[in-house]
Amino acid sequence: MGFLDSLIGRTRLPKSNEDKIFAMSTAMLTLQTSAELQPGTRIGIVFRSLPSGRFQQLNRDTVEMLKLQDKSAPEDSLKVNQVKDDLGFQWLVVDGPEFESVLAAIHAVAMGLLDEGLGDCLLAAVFPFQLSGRPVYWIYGYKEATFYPFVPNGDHRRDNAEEIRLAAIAKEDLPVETDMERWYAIWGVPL
Amino acid sequence: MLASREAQPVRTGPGPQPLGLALGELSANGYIRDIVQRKLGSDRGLTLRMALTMFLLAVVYLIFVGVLLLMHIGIATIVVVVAVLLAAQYYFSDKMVLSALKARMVTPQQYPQLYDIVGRLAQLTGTPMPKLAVIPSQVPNALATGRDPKHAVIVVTTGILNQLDPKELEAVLAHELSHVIHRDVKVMAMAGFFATVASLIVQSGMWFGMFGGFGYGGGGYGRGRNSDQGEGMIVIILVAAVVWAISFVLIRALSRYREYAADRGSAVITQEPSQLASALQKISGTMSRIPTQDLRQMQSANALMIFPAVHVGKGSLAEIFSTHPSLEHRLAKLRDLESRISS
Repeated sequence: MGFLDSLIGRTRLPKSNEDKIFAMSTAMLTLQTSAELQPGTRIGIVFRSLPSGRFQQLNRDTVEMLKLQDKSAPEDSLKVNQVKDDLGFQWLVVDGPEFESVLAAIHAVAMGLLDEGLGDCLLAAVFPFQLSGRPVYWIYGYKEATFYPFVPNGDHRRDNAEEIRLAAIAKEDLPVETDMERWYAIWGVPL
Repeated sequence: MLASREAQPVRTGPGPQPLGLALGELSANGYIRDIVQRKLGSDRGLTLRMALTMFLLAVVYLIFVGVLLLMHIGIATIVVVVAVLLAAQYYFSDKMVLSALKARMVTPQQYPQLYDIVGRLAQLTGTPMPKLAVIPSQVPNALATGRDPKHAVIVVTTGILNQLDPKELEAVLAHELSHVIHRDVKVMAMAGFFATVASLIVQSGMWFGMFGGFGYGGGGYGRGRNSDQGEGMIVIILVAAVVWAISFVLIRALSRYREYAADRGSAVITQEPSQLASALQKISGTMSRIPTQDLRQMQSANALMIFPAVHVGKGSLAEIFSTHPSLEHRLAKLRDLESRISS
């Protein structure tokens, strides 16, 4: 929002930016070795409700694309699930044996939406991890083009100390969000 | 904030081809403009009216300041007093509103759904997570305050949480978040500055007139000079009164335009103007009078809960919102936005 936008009261959603998401593939090693995080096999991408029918089509397209991309992989190793959460946001959850191809699929979904002029719908991509048995998430916010950690600790409570520790470890490899007021919580991650 | 992000190249990389949609329009930073924002377009009329109102306000204020300077009136004191008062009000707007309305800050554990909805909206709009407060009142209402997005507080009544369904609540919260994004507290504080100076001059002038009397200065020596000053004082008070009256009307108009703009912002954010329309109808009480509860259950339920007394009295929330456009006008605008999105 520029000065003029606020002066005349114009709301414009910030443009989504998915360029930085690949930083996660280089940060993977650090997160596993230094932060002792166990990566999951899935990545979820969450967006505000798409026009009717578009979500189902996106799902089909993603499955097709994964098949083309990874011909060697067994037919059922790559899975795409669609979830609608309680807040009316839609999730596409991609699951596969190889992190790189799952990330590429998420990238392709985001870019497809951007190319269609549906980029405003993009909210975040969620990378699940395990830290000594409990879930830890790294979230990529498309509006800020930054990553931030999210460690749920019971009902609507966050383990802020752990989040700050993770952010400190990852800040060399990931564009970590510096403004902690933008570490938006995403409760009930369907991953 | 985010407008300063460097320009992005047009995307031509690999990836799925756009499916079945004719595209074209690129926004300034190289992305294809979002379909919904393209459909909603911009409300030129609203922008023009808002700009005209601000221009007129500036003209009135400039004339006012000009007259004061021409008459060599030492209003420095009063300007400084008002500046300090308004700066304090602006700086502490969040705390003052909260204490005036008996609102209390709430935690995510207390109001998980409220936090979830606002969190998603904040992330969608790239706004820092605002603080959330709740007023224990059955009158359905919501408001936003705080001097900038970093200090924003969104306040809701328990009444609105109970009456609206989640989608409607989301639309209302998006409206409030739009106020934050538009920096309405800042804009209205600036718009009201000289109106406050004028009102203070009028009020202190009346006080002065009542107790001190104008003109006649008492002793013979220097009588003429005092008399001149007295006449000057009357002119100043009259000018201030006119400035006060005109700026009052202009500020009210500006406030209504900011409301339309926030309604529009809610439509941009949620893409569902019909939800806000529905929420507004409920808040205004037209829909809350239609009972949704089973007749058999109603026997035991408190009738007051189903027919909330929307009471417009001194100090009630409804009074604060008297600067809003009429429900009919807002609904008409929202219907127009809805038809644009679904076209």
